[in-house]
Amino acid sequence: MKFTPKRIEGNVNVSKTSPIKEFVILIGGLLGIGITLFIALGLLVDLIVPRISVDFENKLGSLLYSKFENAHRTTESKKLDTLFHQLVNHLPDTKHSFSLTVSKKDVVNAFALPGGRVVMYKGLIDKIDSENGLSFVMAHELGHFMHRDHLRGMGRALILAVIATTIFGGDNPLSQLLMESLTISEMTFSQDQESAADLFALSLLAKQYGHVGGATDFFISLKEKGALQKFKYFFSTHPNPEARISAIEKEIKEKAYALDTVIPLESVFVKDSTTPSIEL
Amino acid sequence: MTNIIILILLIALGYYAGHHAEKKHYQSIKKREEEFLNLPAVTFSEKMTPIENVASSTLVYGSAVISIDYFKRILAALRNIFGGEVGAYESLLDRARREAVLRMKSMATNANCIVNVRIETASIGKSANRKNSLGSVEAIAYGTALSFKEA
Amino acid sequence: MILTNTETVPGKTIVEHFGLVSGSTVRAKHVGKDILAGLKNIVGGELKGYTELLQESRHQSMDRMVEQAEQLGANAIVNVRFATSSVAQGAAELYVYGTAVKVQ
Repeated sequence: MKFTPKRIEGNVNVSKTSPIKEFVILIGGLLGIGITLFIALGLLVDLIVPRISVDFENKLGSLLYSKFENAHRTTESKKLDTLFHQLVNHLPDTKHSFSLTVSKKDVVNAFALPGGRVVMYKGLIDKIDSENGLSFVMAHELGHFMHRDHLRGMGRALILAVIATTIFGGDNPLSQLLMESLTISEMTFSQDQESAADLFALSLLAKQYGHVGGATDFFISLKEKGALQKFKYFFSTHPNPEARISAIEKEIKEKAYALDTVIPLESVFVKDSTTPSIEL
Repeated sequence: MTNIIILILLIALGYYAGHHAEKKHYQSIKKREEEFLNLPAVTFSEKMTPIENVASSTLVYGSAVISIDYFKRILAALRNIFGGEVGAYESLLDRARREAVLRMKSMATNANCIVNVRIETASIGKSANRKNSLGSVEAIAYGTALSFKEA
Repeated sequence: MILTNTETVPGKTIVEHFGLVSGSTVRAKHVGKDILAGLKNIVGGELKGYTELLQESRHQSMDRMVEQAEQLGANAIVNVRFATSSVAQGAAELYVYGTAVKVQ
């Protein structure tokens, strides 16, 4: 038996497709599927949210927060609570049992949780000088409940997070890429809702005080202090304050709301240490 | 946003560096395969050669660990979703095996033939908490080098 | 092309050999099949999707090896060995190699 040395030309063991071409096709396919899924999911959430009864929502809320129920029930000041319930009385009749929770954290933020719970941070209250301004922020959060944004936002984000991680696994660079692009599109989604909530807050403010003076107080104070870095968290889900001020002013002109003097805010926030602090 | 930029940079870097390295490697593989063209490596055993002819026999082996670049890693992850041929890994495995065979051949100095060659592949460099990520691939080739008596 | 995993082709004599030939492939199923297979894992039984995948891959790698052997002018491959590796998750990696020979 003799050996004949021969060269093997070409390489049959490696596919000949160009990697760049393959990459573009695959990314395109993935994006297509992602976008379709996202739109379908958005439609689904919009379809489901109006059907969720307030009772069910309350149940969901109590289920989610039953653990730190006590900490959340405490209200820092009676005055804030009174103010909040005055606003609630102006709302159309719903089965929501609204409650206000003040967290002592020095974060400039406020949000609406399922079950009618509004959470405000001390850092935000400190930024506002007038009762009207404070009412506006509360009314804004109540607006989210009226539009059921809190369910909408949570629904889509929750479903997407679950889907992405089940398919690709949480540590996959692909799902990270997907989540990153999702938060960006989710942001414009919620910015529309923020604007709608602003307009709702304006009408509630008019019902409460008979005028809408002080509505833009909070945003003006944010803009003046110009401490953008510190409020990064706040801005991440909300539109730019200047855009919001101009949108509010436009609405005031259109609806011909009266503007009057504002009620200055006394130190409603009792700075004592006896109240339990809330960690969120 | 910064995450996306970093990701895109990594992919671009992976593509250019990986592509360049692969081209270089294949050039060197082809050059050395040419050099070793006269040293056959076969999978059948020594029974095929007349025993009185063999002067010496030694175990020879060669191994290579080749890692995948970031671009191909993403490409393979994408391919995994849609199914089909994972071309990104094919060149990786091909390079590792050919390199291993070449190293085995270069160990067999003065040999006339390598018999009973076996090639194995193993994946290493997978960290326990990231099971989805591909570390690198190791190929090992081993066989028995025979040198014949001068006739 | 005669493929054997013995030293020789029984009944024939090897007259010439050309060294190693090999074929390898890495193939994956789409994510839907992966999920189905994951569900099937609960009740056990044959994973048809994966059986299919491995068979396809094995055929493809053998075809590739045969292609190399044909290029060398061989008419048989002896001492064929199959090897699998698991570098990529959810993908089948098949490797097959042997010695290309000419038999009479």
